[in-house]
Amino acid sequence: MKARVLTAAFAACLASGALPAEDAAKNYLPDFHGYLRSGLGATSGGGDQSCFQSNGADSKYRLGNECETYMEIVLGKSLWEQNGQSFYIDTRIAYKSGQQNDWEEDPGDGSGSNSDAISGDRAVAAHPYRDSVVSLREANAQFRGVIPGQKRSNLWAGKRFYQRHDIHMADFYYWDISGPGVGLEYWTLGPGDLSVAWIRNTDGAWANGLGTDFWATDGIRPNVVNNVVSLRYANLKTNKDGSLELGAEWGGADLTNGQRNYLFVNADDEVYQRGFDNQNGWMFTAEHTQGNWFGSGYNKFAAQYANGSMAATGNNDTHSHSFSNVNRMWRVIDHGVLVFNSRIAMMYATWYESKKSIDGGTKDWFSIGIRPQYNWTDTMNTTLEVGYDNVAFGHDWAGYIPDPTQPDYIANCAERNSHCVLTKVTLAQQWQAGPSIWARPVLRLFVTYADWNQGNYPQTPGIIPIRDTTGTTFGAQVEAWW
Amino acid sequence: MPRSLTVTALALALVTVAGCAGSGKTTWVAPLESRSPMYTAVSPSAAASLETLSAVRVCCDTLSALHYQPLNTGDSEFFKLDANSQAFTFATGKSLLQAFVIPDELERATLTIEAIAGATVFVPTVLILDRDFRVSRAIDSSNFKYTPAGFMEPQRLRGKVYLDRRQGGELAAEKYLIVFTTDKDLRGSTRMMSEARLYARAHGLVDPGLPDPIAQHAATGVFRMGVGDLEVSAASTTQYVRQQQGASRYVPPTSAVAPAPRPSRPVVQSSPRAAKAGAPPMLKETQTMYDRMIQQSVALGDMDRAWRLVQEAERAGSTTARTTFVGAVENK
Repeated sequence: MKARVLTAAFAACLASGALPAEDAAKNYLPDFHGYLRSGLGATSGGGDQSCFQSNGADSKYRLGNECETYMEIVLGKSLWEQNGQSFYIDTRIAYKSGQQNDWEEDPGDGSGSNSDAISGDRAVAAHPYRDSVVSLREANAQFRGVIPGQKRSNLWAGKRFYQRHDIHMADFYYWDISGPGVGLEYWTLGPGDLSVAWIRNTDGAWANGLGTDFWATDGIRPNVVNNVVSLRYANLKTNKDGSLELGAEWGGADLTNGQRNYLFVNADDEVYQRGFDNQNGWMFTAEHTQGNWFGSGYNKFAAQYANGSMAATGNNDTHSHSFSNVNRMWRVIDHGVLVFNSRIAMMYATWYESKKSIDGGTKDWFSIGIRPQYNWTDTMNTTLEVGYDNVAFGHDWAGYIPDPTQPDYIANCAERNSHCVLTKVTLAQQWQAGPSIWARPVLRLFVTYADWNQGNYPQTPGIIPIRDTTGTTFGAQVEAWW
Repeated sequence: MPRSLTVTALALALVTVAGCAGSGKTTWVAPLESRSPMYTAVSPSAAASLETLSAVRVCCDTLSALHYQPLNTGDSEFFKLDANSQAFTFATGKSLLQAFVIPDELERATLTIEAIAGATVFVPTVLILDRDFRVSRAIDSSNFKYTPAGFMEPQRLRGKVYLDRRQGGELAAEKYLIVFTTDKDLRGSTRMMSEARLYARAHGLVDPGLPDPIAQHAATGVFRMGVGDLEVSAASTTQYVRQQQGASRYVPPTSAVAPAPRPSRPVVQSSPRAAKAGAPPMLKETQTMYDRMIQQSVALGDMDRAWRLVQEAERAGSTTARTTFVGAVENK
């Protein structure tokens, strides 16, 4: 009798699903994700490929307009799973090189190259064999399903790309506070999902005008820590395929005692400032997403406002900075994808951004671009990308001031009451792993033509003569993600 | 004139390129999503696929009359289920099918079957027949799980079929393989992952918050089959037994009959009822071996394994497994 009861109890336990899945064949391979782009190009008139980005613009339209090799290797793995909960480990290592040589090493001491040198100044400054960098971008653990019954709820810590929002065709990350951090995300509360996070980024001594020799002066170490506390409330349903996300982020510097009391002295040994810059500020974001927009396309509309330390936002950076010359920023963005039929699809984006500096200068950036694609077959298409940037500078904007005494002096467009304009057009023939505008890998042959106003210097320095206002490049590029 | 010539030549070149891609089996590329023109030509919609199905005549009354193509043990291959496919009326409904004969030298293998998903998807069920065209095993559709597009792979329903003819008995006699679908599966749909979401995963972006596409289950479609080594983690005997148990329900009783049915030669009994109905009793050594394994598993606290051993042993004719288990649990 006792035996029968025991068996029955055990059978009940079996039926309740307490056992691991029957076919839990162990899979020791990690999830492999990643991204890469590479290729080569040339500029009509001679030399390496020049890339076109307007002065004052934080991004450029990317098709046939990328001059470097970039790759990310993502390895992740669910290490433990039980009752709808799991522990996931995620890592991401990024590599970037000038795409100039077979052998491109990372000099390792920060002397030969950095990210900027590879993208922008390499024709002037970067060593051809030492123009590569490696960056550890993600290393985190995620406890998924941390709130019982909420599969998407996630407690995480470590370095992480945190809920980044981007415009693919411009490679423009307009809401991105990524960095080392900790948080709880997608906690369903009421009609939406709440995410809370504390994320860190750090300024070097240059933020306080102490130059880039941050390793030379003991007094100013360590670097200035900037914290962001992020609150986001997402997935608020507005219609059948529409949803709203709201965000409020506070950022501020967290100075050490030494930094608070540091005395800045001038050449006459007079103290002109006591303590490091110590700004703080807010950023507010609202974004509406509409799915099933023209076929399987979508539209995203975003509005952002930031002040103080959060206003110095650029591409890939909505962090806080201990000193920000810009103390007010707002922008509205609309972007998406239209799918007209099986042959024709189009990406589009437009935005307007207004920044105001501490001393009253203004910078207003308008951008609009389209990328239509026509599929000749499942695997071959012709793609056009047209992008236009117009950056207007109000009085006293700290632009890039050229030296009028130089013989080749041209008034810089990034000066007061002037504006920088750039239009680029790219035609590409693409061989692609499927007809979707998102299908990758893609191999493309492209021709890019750009036109800008005098004094914009948008191209990689030195390749195109400084007085020219047009340029043509051509080349081949591959892009893949998986 | 030269200019118009150039234009004509260019147009011709484009038409040629457009015309030759996508035609024929060898140039076929797995579509990564639903709007692939090639893929919709195979399965424009679930409704159209049903029309195709009803237009195809049932080839025959018995499985033995089907045409079986040799299984390619080399490269993985794509197979279409369309108006040119064979059709057969299974107990679970009429279905288009692809039938294969397993080469004798292929003793052990893992067959990976991936039905490509787009606007529609063909949900596979696999039947394995013995040399006399009697159903040996069925790998039902729940074994084919949705797999999002991965590293250069399309989205698909993916499942594995293990062959292990060295185990002897019924498994050794396995000779034919049929891929088809059932009426029940035809009524369903599969939720997929949007490409925008895949892009977000690769780039570490916020989830795009867009609706996922749905693949309607269709009577036509495309699947890829590859043959690899038998995996270490391949099916256990339990799994083979379960696949044997459920197999008969897919085929009408008369249709699989071979001219002269022979007595079966089971290594693992195909039904627990068979044991009770007086099938040959288990070897004494085997029974003892099961009992010992059950006791060990309980001692180690692995109740799951112990219980599965009980079930397996009973199916194979053990009369002591359950009492051994209960005894072991009580003494623990």
